[in-house]
Amino acid sequence: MLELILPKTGIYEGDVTLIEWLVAEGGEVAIGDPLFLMESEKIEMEIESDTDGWLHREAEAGLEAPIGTRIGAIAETPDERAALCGN
Amino acid sequence: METATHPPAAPAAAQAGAAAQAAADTSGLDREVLLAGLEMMVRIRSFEDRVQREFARGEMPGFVHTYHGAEAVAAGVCAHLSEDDLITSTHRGHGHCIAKGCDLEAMVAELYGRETGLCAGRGGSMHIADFSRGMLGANAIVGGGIALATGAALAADTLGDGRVAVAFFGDGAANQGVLHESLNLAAIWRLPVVYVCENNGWAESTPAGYATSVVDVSSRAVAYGIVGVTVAGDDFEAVYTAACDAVYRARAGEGPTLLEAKVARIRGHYIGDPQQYRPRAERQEARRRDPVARLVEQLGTEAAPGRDAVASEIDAAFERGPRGAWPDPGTVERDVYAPAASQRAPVAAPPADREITFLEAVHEALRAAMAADDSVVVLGEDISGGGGLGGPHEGAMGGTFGATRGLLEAFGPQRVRDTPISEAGFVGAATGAALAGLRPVVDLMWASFAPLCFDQIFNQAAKMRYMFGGQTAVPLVLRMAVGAGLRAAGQHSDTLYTAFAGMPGLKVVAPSTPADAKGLLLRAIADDNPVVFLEHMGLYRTTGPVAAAPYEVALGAAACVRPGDDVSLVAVGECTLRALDAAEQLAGEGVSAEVIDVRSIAPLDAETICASVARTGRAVVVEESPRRCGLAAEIAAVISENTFAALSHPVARVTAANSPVPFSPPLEDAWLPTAADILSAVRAMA
Ligand SMILES: Cc1ncc(C[n+]2csc(CCOP(=O)(O)OP(=O)(O)O)c2C)c(N)n1
Repeated sequence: MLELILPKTGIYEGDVTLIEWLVAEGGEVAIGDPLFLMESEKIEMEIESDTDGWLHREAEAGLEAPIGTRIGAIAETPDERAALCGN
Repeated sequence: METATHPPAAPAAAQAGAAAQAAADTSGLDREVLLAGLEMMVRIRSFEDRVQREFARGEMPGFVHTYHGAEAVAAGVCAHLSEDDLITSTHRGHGHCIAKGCDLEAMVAELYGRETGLCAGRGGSMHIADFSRGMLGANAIVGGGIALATGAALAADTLGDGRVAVAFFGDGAANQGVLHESLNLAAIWRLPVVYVCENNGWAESTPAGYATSVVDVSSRAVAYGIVGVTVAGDDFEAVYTAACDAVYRARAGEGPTLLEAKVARIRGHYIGDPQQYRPRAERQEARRRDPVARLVEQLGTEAAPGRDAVASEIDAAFERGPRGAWPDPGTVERDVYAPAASQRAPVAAPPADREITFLEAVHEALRAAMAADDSVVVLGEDISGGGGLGGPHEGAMGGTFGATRGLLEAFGPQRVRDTPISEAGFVGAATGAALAGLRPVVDLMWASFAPLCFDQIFNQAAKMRYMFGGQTAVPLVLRMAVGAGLRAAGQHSDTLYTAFAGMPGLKVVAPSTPADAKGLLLRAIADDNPVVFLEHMGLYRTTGPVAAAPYEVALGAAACVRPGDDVSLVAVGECTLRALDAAEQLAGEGVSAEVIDVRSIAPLDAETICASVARTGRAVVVEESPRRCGLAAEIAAVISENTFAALSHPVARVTAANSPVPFSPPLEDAWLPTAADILSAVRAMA
């Protein structure tokens, strides 16, 4: 499982916003697939997956939070993903 | 991808017959070699994956460029280097560090800005260096390391110690002029250097296909008569084999190679780069050109050796590295300068036994320094003349002003090198040579030419000791002619005092007498810091008493050259003569003027200057820069800050006009600060 956070993407160190998820809960993703849209210093960017797996979302679109805030995870198997949701 | 060689059958390639033989011997590499290569590549990849993850969390300051996709290049090239061989790197330098054997924990600590980092937190990712491993620094100036490696190879060649230098750079840097200057220098001097272009197809957001006029960067080697080779940079075996040839060629005295490795930039330009400028399909394609996956596949899936050991090595580095102590803010000015001439006191001057000119004094200093220390070399344009012609032609020029005449005959062409007109290339090379065991004295002709090599002076030579946390010294002297009054006009007359004095890490000297010229130049050559030595053209023919034996005058010390009580004339360089002239005239008017010859612009001897002004209560600063933001403004500020209570009048400045230096004699005379200007300034204080 790889933890998903709101990442630092440059020199800016203030809060960033999770604008929109680009993959549904439980969706299968491959390395390089866009996962979510983030706004940092008024610039919108797509954050891509660093790994293959199944997405688990823990934060709602619109969340404004510090860099490093956990917003979900990429599970290695569908079962692991299900366990993360508690169902 | 096939290996392409440029030129296909040029003479240089033919001369490299022995190297070609070496290539044959390495084809079909031992499994051991491949396994070792893979282990190194995995170490680099795992380190960079971890850097990427940790950076995202936000604790790592600044920004970082990772080496994803080029692992086979650092691993394949550095496999042929020993710890004594020297490399220069780029803003994307972690892979080069690791392949050259840098300590991972100290690397991590550096990325986090800790005192325990390789550079004590002064450099960070883009200026990481480890001189104990022959890693002469990442470089945040694109192309900045190329001339330095050339110079490291120059040092190896001059000292004959068998070391090889490697410059790593990107395709973006392939369009920097300094690469072309360096290739030419290395070719004419047959230096033991390998230029490794990691062509990842992108310079930030600019595709190589747009910015570069040729498909293969290596084809540019043809223009310099050297061997150029392009290999698939994701193929460890191909890189290893080509690097083996190139390093062999360098060690065998067969000169430089331009080795291009075509790699894929698997990630963004920097961590977090959204890469909107890059088509998604091209990014996916890049991920398929993964050198680590390729070698794993080549060796069989079980084959990633030592993966667990590497993982725990990296875990330990990231566990301890970020916990290193922060640097003490009180040390912000530490390591700007190396200790003065290794803290040895200046060699005292014996009594002056005869009169010689300023120019002869400069020459004597160079000759004495070269005689005393084999590591002192001089280089510059036309410093001997007739380069390579032999007979009465060679050495006949002896420098534009004749300061270096006769040195070629006395010390030979290895230590007295005429350079092509490549200021960035040879000043960069001199800087690199200073990092690698020589004490170069560069003749830059005129200070007005210094802007052509400002990067080498300002970003490289001046900053290196500091950025690398005091790991290195840069024992380099840059001699330049300065000053107006000789009708040389706009582009041959500047002093640039202010520019040089404003660069932390440089020492700047401007003597006004033959005796000081000799003693200060000898001390500058003995000093472990880069020293800019400014020789005013108006002084070259002036004469004065000078001891024949070698001696030194301390840097950073002003001299009271005429005592007085009523006003301090604080003069720089040739203006000291005008100040003395004015003081003589003032004496006739009953005004006793003290003249302080500043001598060292940086560091400035504030103590001597301020002690004089505190006593006289009046100060006129005299120097030959345009007035606005000139050196006089700085000296006046230092005086005001320290002696305000003693001052009876505001500090006055006598400077040049706020214009470039004009040609027409009446205009140039109006531009220059004169004794009459000094007299008016003093009279205004009555
Ligand atoms: C002299 C200089 N110009 C511009 C930059 C800004 N810059 C930093 S990296 C870079 C791209 C360099 O491309 P390349 O040499 O191909 O290396 P890569 O980043 O692809 O490894 C640029 C333009 C710089 N640091 N230095």
